[in-house]
Amino acid sequence: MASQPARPRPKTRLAIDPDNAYAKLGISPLASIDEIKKLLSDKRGKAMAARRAKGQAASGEEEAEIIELQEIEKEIGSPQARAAHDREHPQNALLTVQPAARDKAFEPAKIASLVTSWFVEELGPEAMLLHPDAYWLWIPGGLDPDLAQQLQPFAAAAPSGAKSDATSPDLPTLPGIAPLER
Amino acid sequence: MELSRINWSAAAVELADEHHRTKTPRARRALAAVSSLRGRFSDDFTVAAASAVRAVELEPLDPMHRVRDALVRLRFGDADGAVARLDALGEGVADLPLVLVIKALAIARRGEPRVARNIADRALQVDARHAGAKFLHTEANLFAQAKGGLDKLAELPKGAPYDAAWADLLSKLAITRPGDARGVAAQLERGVMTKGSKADSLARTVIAWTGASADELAAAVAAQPKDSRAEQVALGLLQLKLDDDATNAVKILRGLWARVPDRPSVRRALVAALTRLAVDEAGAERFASALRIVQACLELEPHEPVHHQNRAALFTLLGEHEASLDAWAELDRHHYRLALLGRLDPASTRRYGAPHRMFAQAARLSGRTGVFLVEETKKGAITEKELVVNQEAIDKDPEQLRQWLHHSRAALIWGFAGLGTQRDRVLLAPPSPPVAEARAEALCALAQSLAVLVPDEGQRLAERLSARFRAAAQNAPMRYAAPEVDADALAVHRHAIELYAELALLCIRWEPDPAKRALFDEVMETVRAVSTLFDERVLEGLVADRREGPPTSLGFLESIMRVVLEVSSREVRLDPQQRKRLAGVLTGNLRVNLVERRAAESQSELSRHEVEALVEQLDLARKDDPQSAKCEYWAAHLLMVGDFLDEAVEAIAAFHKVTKGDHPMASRIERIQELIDEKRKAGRAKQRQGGIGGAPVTSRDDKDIAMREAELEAQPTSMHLYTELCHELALADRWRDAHAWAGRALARCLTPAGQTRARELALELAGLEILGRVDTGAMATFVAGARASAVPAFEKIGTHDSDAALEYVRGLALLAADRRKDAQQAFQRAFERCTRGIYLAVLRPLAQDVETAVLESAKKEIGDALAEGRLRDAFERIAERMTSVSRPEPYVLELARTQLAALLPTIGTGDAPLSPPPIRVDAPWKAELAAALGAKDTAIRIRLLAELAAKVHEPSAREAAALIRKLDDLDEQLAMASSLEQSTKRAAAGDIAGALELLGDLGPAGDKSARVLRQRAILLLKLERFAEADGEVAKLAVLAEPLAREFAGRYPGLLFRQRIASASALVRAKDFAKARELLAACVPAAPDQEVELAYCRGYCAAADGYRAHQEGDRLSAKRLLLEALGHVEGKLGEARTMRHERLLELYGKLEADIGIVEGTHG
Repeated sequence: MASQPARPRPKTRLAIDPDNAYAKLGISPLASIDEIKKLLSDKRGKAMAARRAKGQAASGEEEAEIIELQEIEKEIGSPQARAAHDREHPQNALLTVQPAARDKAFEPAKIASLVTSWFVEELGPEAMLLHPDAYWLWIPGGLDPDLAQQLQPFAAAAPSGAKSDATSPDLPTLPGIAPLER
Repeated sequence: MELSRINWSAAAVELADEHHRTKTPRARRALAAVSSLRGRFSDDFTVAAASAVRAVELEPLDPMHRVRDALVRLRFGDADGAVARLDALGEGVADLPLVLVIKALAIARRGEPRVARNIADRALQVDARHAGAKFLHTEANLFAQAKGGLDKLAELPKGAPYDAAWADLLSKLAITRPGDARGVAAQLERGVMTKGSKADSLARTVIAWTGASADELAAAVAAQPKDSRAEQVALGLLQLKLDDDATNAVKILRGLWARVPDRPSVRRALVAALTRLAVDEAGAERFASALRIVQACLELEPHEPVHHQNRAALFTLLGEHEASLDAWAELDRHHYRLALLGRLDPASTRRYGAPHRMFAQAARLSGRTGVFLVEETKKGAITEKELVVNQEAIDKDPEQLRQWLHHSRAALIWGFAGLGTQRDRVLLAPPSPPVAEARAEALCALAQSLAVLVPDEGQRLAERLSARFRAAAQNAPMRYAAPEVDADALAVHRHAIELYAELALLCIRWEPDPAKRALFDEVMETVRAVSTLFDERVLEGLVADRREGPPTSLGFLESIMRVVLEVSSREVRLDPQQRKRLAGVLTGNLRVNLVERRAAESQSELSRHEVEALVEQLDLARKDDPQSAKCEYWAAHLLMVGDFLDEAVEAIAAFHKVTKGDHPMASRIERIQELIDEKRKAGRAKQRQGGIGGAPVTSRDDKDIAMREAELEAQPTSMHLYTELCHELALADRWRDAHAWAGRALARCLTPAGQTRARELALELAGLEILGRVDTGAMATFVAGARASAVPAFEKIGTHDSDAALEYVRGLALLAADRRKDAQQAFQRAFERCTRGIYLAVLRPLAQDVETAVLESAKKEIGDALAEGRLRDAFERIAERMTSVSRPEPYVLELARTQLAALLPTIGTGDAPLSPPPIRVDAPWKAELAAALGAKDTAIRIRLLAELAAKVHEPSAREAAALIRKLDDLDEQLAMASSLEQSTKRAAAGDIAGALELLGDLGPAGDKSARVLRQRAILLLKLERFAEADGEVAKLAVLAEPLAREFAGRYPGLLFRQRIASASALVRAKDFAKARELLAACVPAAPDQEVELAYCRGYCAAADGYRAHQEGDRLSAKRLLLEALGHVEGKLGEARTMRHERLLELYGKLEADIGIVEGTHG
């Protein structure tokens, strides 16, 4: 397009479809698939029980509800179907006020995994911790001596006070405090 | 050795270099080990993952590298990827306890503790004493159940090595099972950990936090170091505690934030609580209140996309239309900025595309105001639903159509952007280079919608994405069977086809408003772009899948395709020309619709100027669709209205030619004919300026030609450009233009070689045009480079009276298929039948002797084989040619060239280069050839072959001489490699000066070799000749080799370390003055080096001070100790952050000792 046209601003308003699958089921579009399955199962169970209880006297409402639940299940009852449905109807999730994805980090299991990361930092990667940074998983038998020798030229001086490959003098080599005492 | 202090990237470069040079198993193993371990120490996923993969490639039989590859995935949160890699391990390896433990860990992180427990159980069955498996099994077991089971803890091993595991397990239990707090505390008291150990103290802290009140936790958060893991854990527990009451959470977190306003994690927690409150408010339909809270979140975190999205959603829910449009535009802008910063992973692109999909869907079908409508027709008891164009809504609000158009395009572009940069994904496995290029250009055109939707950022993003699309199209191969695309790419392709189907409906049914030409142009451009992505097989799949469900326009597109292309078979397979024709019909029809609407609205009250403009539009439509009866009808109508009677008659004739019989418009055409006759009688005939088809046309093809023309203006003798352009025109079925350009090449390229090539091109084009009339596909594949594939088509064409040009092209195709005799016959026929003198110069040598052409073809094959490293193929091809041609002389040079190519990679490796197979030629120089081939030394063999080539084949002499010069250079390099090897050995034996001496006299070649310069610099550093080392590095820094760049980058660090080491030795020898001098010259290259230098300077001054004190010189001692304190004091903050314990310890010691010295002195 030669000259840049402006962003379209139509007169028709964006609106949420009140008959969308989530609204019909009565669940948030942000709910997990397990929550959707559970609600579908509960509602279907209740409708079936009502249908059985009424027997011949059933009005057809229960059957209509069961059919509707089947339709909803077809649309959002499985991860694949739900993903396809959400791709086609993004407005359901977009028009729902929601927390940021990272706020899920404050679930107990996530905090527990944070604890392990903290302990790796505090106790060092040599400690036996169930963490993918722990050395016992990476080099279960220790570093091969031949490889260690080849890596020696690439070991930097340790500013953290590690003394193994530091080239600067260690503190104990200082004469110490004794000569200064009265 | 502290592994975290290793410079893994430098180690990888160095060991890769060593592996490349020596090719020894030890070097390969070391490189593989370093590559896979690098995955543990790199914070960049791309680097870590690529290194792990490289390790697996180097040592495919060592399962540890595959295990580390899985660990890399797990480190970066890809538990699924880790499990997939572990599952792919072979039998015997997959059941090793370590592998099972890592798999259980990955599955536990995926949130499936029961499965993790079972896998850990399998690990214990293999090795019942595996401590890691035991802890993991217990942890997973306890996490899988809500309560009880703590008695299992008694089975776990105890002792100092397991303190960390115990601390971790008990802390996690305290968090995830608050009901078991007493049981967990009891374990602590049982002494499962070493009392007073760091692990014990950490576990007690976490367990205490789990039982603390919200205020206590807030105080604990404030007490932790900023941005530390401890802070995160305390804050997480606080949020957990406040989970039930969003209002209270906001209150407490606001208070905490007021106390520690510099903490980003506290601000994030506060924003999370505010957002939860906004969610609650919106759930209760208090949208205004929710909006106020979201605004507060936005002020605190303007960078977080979800707040922009929530704000836009709330404006929408409040019904504030204009504000909501602005808010959604802001969200897009925010997304685009993130994309410009490089966040273009699939999940992000899906997020960026979602609002566009929403807007496109909203404009597409929106009750009575959408671009399309679902029309219901009752046919008896059945109600049929059909998707139709909502002409009225588009006329009323054209912005609705623009919204659908641009947001659909943007959503599509985000879909493609999410597919990455791999050609077969992003360009949907293009079958040929022209298709790849066309698809890339189409995506570039579609990306312009980003600039329409978000000016500035959108424009920059469109440019960046366009560069990606074009890069993907470069060097696309020609394929006969394109690979299947993956599910994600197929989903994007389906999206494109759905859009094309709706555009097709629009093209056929929509009548564009002539007053809104910009809108019409936007639709046209979209149709043209999306048409290049059309694939009938994808359409077929979509039609089958969408048969049930809401009505679509897919069936409509399928019908149009079948009618236009007259195909009736069930499975439709189209060629590029047919797809182009389909697109032409759609764009042509839309243009005719535009003209029709204007003509209908004017009720024939059109000015002459308007008539001419409309007829020009029809000329363009005719260019897209030359078979359109509707176009010819309206041309006849308008030309008649404008009194251009002769042209109107021509249009009527074209109408009859297209319709070939009955047509619904036939009666209307007859009426026009009558009116023309009447006008003729009245003498009202006029002449249009351009005539039919003569109007200036500015199609995309014309633009391409103009571009090429500009290129040719700059390089008017580039035969390569002429050939490319003529081939493009041939593929576009524009033979007249192609011949014209070939004619220009003849007139401009006047060197002997240029003339020959221009004549060849002209002759080839003439032949291709005839071939194209018989078999378009064969012509296209020939043009694309696969000449041999045109042979079957030629076999169907008789030879007895064929054209000379066709026989020439046949000869080329047969030659490519290596049917030399048949090719020669074809060339002879071409020569005999050729009537144009200029082509005889091309045909004569071929007709007389096809071997020249055979040699050229063989040279190309050998060149390709050498470029791809297929040395054996190259040798075999030469041997086969030398024994089968009548003049094998030119191949001797090829033999020498190939032998040189085989020698080069083996230099310095000790491997023997590949030798040519035995070659027996029937020539007077066969003994010389045998002698050359029999030479034991490869370099001598090459030299002898080159000399022989120069002797037996005069045209080879120049290249042979160049080859011999290259050999001379090579000798020099070999000498240098030997010196370097000896120097390395001597340095390893401790003779540094001797090692340096060996590299002293390597001449100018030595000063240009990165390896030599690096070795010299390292040796000079070891000899503490720092200035000379700097000089060697200065020479190395200007070299372009990766090795040079890597070493130059690493050198400041090495220099620093070496200086510190030398200064340390001087301090130990109590030579403080020299040590100070050396330390004064030290230049730190990183913050950690600054701290280290401060420590060393402090240490030097302190040691000098203690010496003075020992000697009784208290005044000097005090001065020196104070100087030492000054050095370390300035870096205390950094030392604390970096945990430089020695500096901190020195500081403490100096503080105490200075006090004593001062006391003594005083």
